[in-house]
Amino acid sequence: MINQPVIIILIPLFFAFLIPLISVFSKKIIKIIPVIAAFINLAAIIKILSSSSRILKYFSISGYKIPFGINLIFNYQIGMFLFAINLVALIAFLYFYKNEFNIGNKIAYPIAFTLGLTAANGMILTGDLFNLFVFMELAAISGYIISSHRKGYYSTITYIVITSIGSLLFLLGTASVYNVSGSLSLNTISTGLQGVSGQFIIIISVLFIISLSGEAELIPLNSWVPKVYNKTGDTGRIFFGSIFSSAALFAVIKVLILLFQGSYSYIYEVITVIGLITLFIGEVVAFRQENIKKMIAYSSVAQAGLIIGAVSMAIKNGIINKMVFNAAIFQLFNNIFAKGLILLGVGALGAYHLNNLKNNNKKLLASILTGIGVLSLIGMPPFAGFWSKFYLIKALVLNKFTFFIIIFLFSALFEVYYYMKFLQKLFFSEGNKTKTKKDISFLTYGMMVYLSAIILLIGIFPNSIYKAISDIFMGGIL
Amino acid sequence: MTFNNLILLGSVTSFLTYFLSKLSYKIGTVIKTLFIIISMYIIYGNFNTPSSISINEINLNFNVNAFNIYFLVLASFVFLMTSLFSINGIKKYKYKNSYIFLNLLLFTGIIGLFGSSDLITLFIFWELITWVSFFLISLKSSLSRKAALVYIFMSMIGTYFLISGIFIIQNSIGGVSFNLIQKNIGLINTASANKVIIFFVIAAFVKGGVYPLHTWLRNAHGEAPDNFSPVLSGLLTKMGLYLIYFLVIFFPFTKLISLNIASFPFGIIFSYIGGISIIVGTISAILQNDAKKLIAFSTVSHAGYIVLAFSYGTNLAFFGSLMHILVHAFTSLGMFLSIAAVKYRTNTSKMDDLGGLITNMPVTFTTYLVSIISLAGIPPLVGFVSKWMIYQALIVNGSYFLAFAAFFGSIGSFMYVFRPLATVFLGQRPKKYEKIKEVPFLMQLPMLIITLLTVLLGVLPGIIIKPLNKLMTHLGIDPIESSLYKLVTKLTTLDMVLIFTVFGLGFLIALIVFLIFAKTTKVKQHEQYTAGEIVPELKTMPSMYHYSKNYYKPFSRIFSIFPSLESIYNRIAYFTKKIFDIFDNFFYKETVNGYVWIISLVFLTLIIIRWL
Repeated sequence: MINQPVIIILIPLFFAFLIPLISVFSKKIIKIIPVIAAFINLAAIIKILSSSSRILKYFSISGYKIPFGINLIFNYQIGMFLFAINLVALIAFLYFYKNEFNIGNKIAYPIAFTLGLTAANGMILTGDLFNLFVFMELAAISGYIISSHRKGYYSTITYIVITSIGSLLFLLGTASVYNVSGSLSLNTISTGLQGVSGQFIIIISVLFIISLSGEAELIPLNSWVPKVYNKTGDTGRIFFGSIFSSAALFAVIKVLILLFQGSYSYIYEVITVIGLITLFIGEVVAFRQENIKKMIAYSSVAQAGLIIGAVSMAIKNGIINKMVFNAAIFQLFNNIFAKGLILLGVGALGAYHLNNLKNNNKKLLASILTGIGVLSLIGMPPFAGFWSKFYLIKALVLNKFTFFIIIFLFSALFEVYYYMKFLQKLFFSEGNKTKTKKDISFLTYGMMVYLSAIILLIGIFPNSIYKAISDIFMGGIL
Repeated sequence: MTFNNLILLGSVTSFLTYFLSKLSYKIGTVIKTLFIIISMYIIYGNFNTPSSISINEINLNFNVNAFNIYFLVLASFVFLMTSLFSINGIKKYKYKNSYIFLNLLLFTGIIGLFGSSDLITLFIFWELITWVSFFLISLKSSLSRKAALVYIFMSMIGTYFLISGIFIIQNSIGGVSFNLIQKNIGLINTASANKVIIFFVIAAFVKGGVYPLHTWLRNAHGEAPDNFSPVLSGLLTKMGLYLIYFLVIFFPFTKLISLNIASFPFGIIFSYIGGISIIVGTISAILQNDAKKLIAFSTVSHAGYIVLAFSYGTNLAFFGSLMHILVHAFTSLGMFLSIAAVKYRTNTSKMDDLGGLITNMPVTFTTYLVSIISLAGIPPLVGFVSKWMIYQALIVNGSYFLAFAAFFGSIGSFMYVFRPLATVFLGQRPKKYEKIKEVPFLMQLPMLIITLLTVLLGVLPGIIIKPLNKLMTHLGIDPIESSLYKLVTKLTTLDMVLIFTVFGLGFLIALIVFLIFAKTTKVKQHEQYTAGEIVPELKTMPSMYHYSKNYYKPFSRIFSIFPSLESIYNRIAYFTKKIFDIFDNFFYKETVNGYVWIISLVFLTLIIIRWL
């Protein structure tokens, strides 16, 4: 049992349900429970990683054979992603424990955060379509609670409406697929779908693409993103920016590859176009923002569009172009850390609006660490993001995807501009201090230093990480 | 110590100086200067010794050969001079520690860039230099921050073109090391070769400040911290032009430039672009009112000289362009350092408020005077050597427009450099600057060294011609004839020592005549004939009627009808911002419109792709 990946989902679930029990006895212990859950989960991941292989394996639960029971997919590369997500979750929970526990209902928010971690892990691990639906719903529900952390009720309602539409479409799609192919497990659906008429494929592809775009921050269902990022608390922002968006994006990639198995190339062309549109609109709108939280939200949208566009560009006629695919996955991996660091820094410094950044000279270290996160995201050496962008451009030029490169680099210009403007205002703005946030605790500094060290290490040893993450879905699938 | 260890030591030392400067900034700057001196020595010692930093299968390869030792020594020299100057010069800066740290990191980046023997290494250091110099420019004021944003935007355009070109080369040839490219250049087909040349040249023009990609120069150089402007102008622009020299490594010189290759006639186009850049730079510089912005435009015109001479095709012109890199570095060092020295003592660089500082700051005055004489290409200084070669090359081959452009650049340049001289150093001194002293010795030292070298290299040009000949032979171009003090060209031979003696004698005679016979009459600076009108500004704002105000107004009237490239770019930027606002309003405002548009867009995409 200890070596099964299902334990990665079970541990936070267990602790989430422990919280109401313990709250009967003592309210003070509750704030440490998410931290304990994330820590034990991280330890479990490390243990399972040490004995995992690089080939995608299906793990069945409770002995039910595939395709009759729920199954999980796991290999070393997926373990690396889980490690990254749980690490950022641990950091978020530590921040919550230190700074934000006293805001809002003391029982609901820890439960929501822990359940959110469960859902994120589940979205990455699951190999079954309906199970994915369940975890997406769980993520949405915990997202509803998290997004209202600082009285963000209007944004929460927008989020509820939009993700409900998404869930409905997903349910419809799942039901149709089950009807036709007789199975819900991702690896056997595609054999069941052979010989089905093309129009049916279009319908289910539309349903899946649109529904999955809700949680993964793609067009068309991403208008909740700036609103929610604006109104939620700092921990909630780290959750949405780093954990939910990356897990949902990973789930989308998984469905795209395992469900359709690379055939029906028009689906992939559509997704490329949607990804490019998302990238362009995201960067362009972020360029005009003055509110830093919204700026990061739009940038997150644009990065999601870039990754999905690159992944679907890499798939043609059942063959995955390894260079482009691995570069896009590497970009997704780096973004988890970079966005986590930026959002942590922005929250700790209280840097919420471009015109209100007054003289952060006393908090120079925190500004510099946030700067490291930003420089990594826009792709400056010697940080991690430089290498992921480098490999991505290399793969795109090698395969002569000219149109993609033009839009990608054009949007990247604006990304560099607005993030550098943000850094300038962070480091150098003059003016007297108005209201300052309370001092940043040593624990927060430690977490920011730790994330920056990871980013620097990935920047200095990019090839090891690249090799460790590459070829997730190879090994017997495509 | 090998080159790769030098790079690592540089990065570590820059962090160290940050913490040490918290104790006293003088310690930081002295350590920085010592490091630069040590690195000059190490660079010499590593001649033709390849070395590399290999981490995790990423190889940063370095090599110092006859090609880049010229650039490396020039870079170290420019940094050394500004570093000596900044030991006292940054006393009044707000962010001293960051300045010293970023400056040393930038130095490490630049010698890494020039010393690289591999295109990927070059690119990594290129990007590092871009963002470090961005922060260095932003240190000063809010105006400099706006200028820095324009700088990084245009710089990233160049960077993305560069990386695309590098990957096209890697595709066709299979590797990116310079030796490999030189051997296998035949593998690249003409279409890709054209693309590579255009991409590299765009990146080079953006960084080097050649028309029409030069609009960021004015504000970025003009508003940068005073101690950093010489490095920006003298060195970082050369980084871009270094890329153009690469094309000579890759494509044999004759193939690139000659007029009868089957592909695009690049040589003619680039030389005309260079010529236009000279003219535009000179005219815009004449119209400026701020001393530093004026010098920034002179950088545009000198970059034009270098591109013109390089693309022209003869070995004489090629030599002229190489030499001109050194000349421009020296002159911009001299001019920027003197203006920084004036600003250090008087806290202003507005030309209208100053005057008569020649008696207070004689060393500064001499440096500035010698630099502008060299800039205008007047013998016997070093500026004359490079310009002479370029003129000879253009005249021998009979290119009328380009020769006109080159001459116009020299003559026009004297118009604009004379203005700060007359307004800042000559004329009458305002009362508040009566007691100003000369700058401290450590700030005078680099100025004296530059003056001395300008004169020395002008009289004995052979000192530079020998290494440059080695460079040209390394690239496969015929060297020019040289001797220690003679300039030999097809048309004539000049004996520089003779010219120096003649000029020196002339100067002495003029001096004697002036001291014996000249009489001076004091004229009030604000003495204006107002035809009986009562002009209240004469008492309240006398600087309105200072003789240097609107110095070249008739000249600017001539050129006021010409379209300005900067205003075209500004309008494009404004237009783009408005379009982006439309996106913002459509997609993310809280109306129904946005959702309808998005959903229609997605369905449209689906339909188009499925049925096409």
